[in-house]
Amino acid sequence: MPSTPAPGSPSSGASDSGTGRSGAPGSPGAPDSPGPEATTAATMPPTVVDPAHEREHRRWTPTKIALWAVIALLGGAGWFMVAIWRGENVNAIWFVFAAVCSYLIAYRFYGKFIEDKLVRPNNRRATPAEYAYDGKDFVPTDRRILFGHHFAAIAGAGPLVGPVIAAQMGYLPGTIWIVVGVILAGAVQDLLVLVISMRRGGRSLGKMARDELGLVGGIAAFIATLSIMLIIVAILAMVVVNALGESAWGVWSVGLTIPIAIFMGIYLRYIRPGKVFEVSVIGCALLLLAIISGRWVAESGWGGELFDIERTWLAVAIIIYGFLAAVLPVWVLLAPRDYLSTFMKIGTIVMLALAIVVVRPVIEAPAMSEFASRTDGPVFTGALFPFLFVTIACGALSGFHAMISSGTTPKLVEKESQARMIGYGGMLMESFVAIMALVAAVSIDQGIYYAMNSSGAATGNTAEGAAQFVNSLGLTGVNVDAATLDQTAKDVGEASIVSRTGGAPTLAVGLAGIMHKVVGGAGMMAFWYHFAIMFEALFILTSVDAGTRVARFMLGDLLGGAHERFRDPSWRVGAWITTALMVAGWGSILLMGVMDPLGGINTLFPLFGIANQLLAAVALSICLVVFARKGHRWILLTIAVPMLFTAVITVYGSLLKIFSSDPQVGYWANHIAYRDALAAGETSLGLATNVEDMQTVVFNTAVQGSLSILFVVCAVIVMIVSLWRTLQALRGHNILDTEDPYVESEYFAPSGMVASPAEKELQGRWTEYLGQHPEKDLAGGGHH
Amino acid sequence: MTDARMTGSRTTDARMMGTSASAGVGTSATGTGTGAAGARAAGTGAAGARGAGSAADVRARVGVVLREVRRFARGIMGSDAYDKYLTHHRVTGCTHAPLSEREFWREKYAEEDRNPQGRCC
Repeated sequence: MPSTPAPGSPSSGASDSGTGRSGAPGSPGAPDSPGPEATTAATMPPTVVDPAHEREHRRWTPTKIALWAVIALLGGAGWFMVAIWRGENVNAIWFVFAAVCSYLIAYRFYGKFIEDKLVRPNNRRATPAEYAYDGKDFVPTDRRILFGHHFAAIAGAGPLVGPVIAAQMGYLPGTIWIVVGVILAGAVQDLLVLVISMRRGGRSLGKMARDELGLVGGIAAFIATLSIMLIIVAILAMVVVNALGESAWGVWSVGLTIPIAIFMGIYLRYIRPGKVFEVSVIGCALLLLAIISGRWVAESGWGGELFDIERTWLAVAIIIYGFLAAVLPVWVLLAPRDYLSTFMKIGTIVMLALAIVVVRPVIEAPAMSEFASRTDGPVFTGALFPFLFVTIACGALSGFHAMISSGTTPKLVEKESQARMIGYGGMLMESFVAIMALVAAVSIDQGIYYAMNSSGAATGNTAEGAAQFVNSLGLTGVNVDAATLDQTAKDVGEASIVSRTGGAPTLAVGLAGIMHKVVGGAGMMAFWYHFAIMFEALFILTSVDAGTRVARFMLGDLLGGAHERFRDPSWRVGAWITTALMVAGWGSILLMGVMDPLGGINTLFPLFGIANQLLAAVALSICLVVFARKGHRWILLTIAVPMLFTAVITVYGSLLKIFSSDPQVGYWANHIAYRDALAAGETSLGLATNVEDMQTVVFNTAVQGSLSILFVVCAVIVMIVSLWRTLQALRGHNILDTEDPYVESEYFAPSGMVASPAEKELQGRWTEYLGQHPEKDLAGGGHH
Repeated sequence: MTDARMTGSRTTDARMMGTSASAGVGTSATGTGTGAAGARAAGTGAAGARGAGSAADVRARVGVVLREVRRFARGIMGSDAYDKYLTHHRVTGCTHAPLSEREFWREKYAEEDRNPQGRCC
């Protein structure tokens, strides 16, 4: 819309002038004060609080200064204990202090700084929820409810898995990256994508890429997004396969979620429509029953035999499940699973946070392990820089969030000034989940940690082999014997815990170790272990289903160019074809990983992190162009620095994966090493013990290497186009304005988690006003 | 200064309790699904107004908290979608009869089938 005046710029519409730019956000300075007319009940009250009143509230009082000083001191004490203190083993409570105080300071000061200088919210401007109000997708939603909703949508298995795997390098590098990364990069990305999508009617990231970057950048962003989605689904599915392989209890309880979800779906459709909360409570009770009954099934002869399934067959089962779940109507499986998953997610995370505070476990891992300075770790290979930064993606910086921040959430926000709380604050919460996962993983015995996370090829999948392998690593203070491994497996109700890679089982052991001290004692460890496995499998299977649907939709859109009918989502044949293609895409990567002689997770997980971070670099690049085109200058560094950092770690990581001559790190180096060995007639190399395995390695490394190239090429194209457009904008050329036109708001809501006195006062007037004008009450009496 | 402000906010709270109850009555008058909740709200609101007795006051406050918890839980789970739809129906002044709760949810799930949304990792 080139004819629309740039909203937010001083020259634009009278109602907008001098608001977004000059005033303090949250109270965008109204040039004219609300005036006495607002006191008449029939007249609409102002949509922004009186700036003078707000300034009064924001003034620094001695109490406030003291409060922030205490937060800073506590945080400082936390960081001192975590990072510098080298006495007795550190207590987990210090991690909580360090992280939470850092988050509070970042939210209050850095988030606010970005809001004031870059975002400049204008509360006189209606959000899509107001101007496109439709009662379904576009509805002004109470900010605190939306915060919960947004958090439940962004937090999945990612922040629970990455930190566990990264714990190989010790707790310190991971902790610093999770906290600093989220403050400077992850939360900034989520906030900015939310903001730019909100100014564009909740447009998706892909659509915004096309609008801002043009055809080439748009296509590259499309291919990057689609392929990244497939790899993420594949690796998440592999985490589930690794957690459930040869675990009768796990297969039984996670398998039961399917009939439970179908029952819930039927209940909601035919028995009591709309009683979502009620059915979630019933479903959750059934889920607990499924976990408890797993012990009886696993211990019975027939159950142990029937559900003890090899990983390859489990992968096949998940592929079939993924196809069926994605072609069935959403009410059958996806929607009820979503309810269960949200219910469990919020419940378990709150429970875990309380348990960590109550139990205060002692950290077993060193601050920096020997592997922090090596490239041959058994859990994942490669040097700390850049591979730690790609191993922990979700929790520090997750590009996938850009999909949620553009899409569902921006259509529900009541006021522009709420974006900081929802976007920035929501991501800080996810980061806290990652910190808790890290704490759980580093509070288990290090010997057990390595035995669980080294590949089966290294440990031979036996307790004796694992003990021998772990002890041969020569790590100080790390040793384990077969009896301990067997006992731990027995405690958690499994036949074996050796080489349960993928992060989920390790987290489950850690969580069981913490939770059983609060509820149930040692006898409950097995329950908590399977509770954790179930909880992660639940998210992941939902992500697999939803990811397949989104990928199918994107592919349908693409194929629609050749055959128009593919764009029609109700054309069943088309839906089956596109679903089958997408399932084949992630399914083949999954099978490849599961059958990989070198272990799978340790070779594929870096690809997952790189993919996710590349998406983040793409999202930040798009934000950079948008804000450059709004006329910002030096403040763009708050986007450019995290974007370039992400670009460096991902591109450097990709280049190492492609070009490194170290076969431990480079996919092609490994490919060539195995190909040459085969050509020389050798029958074993490294962890591959026969010719067939060697051939598999040759094939797998070629696929992995090719995927690396595809991702990095697409992402680099997007980044180059973005930087070029940004430079153009800085020189004043090619300024596009893709924002929706300005609409004056007739709605009020407070900005932060807690309403300020000025906001409360104004809210009271709005409640009175809406009482007389119910036709303006879009939230339906939601003004609380 | 701080004291005065705190008292101010407390009175605002009290006023909001009263008005939210009256908004509830408004909803129940239109005969929507939230009618029952509205009536309950009015009941506790009245109790709060009468409530010189501290027991009634406490009960009213507990009622308010419980209703808020319910509203949050329903909001986060998405259980309030039909209420939102009815509000939209009322606010926009549609003349045709609204969908029944059963029809609404069928339509909602069909819509989700047509427009899939990703979940995060």
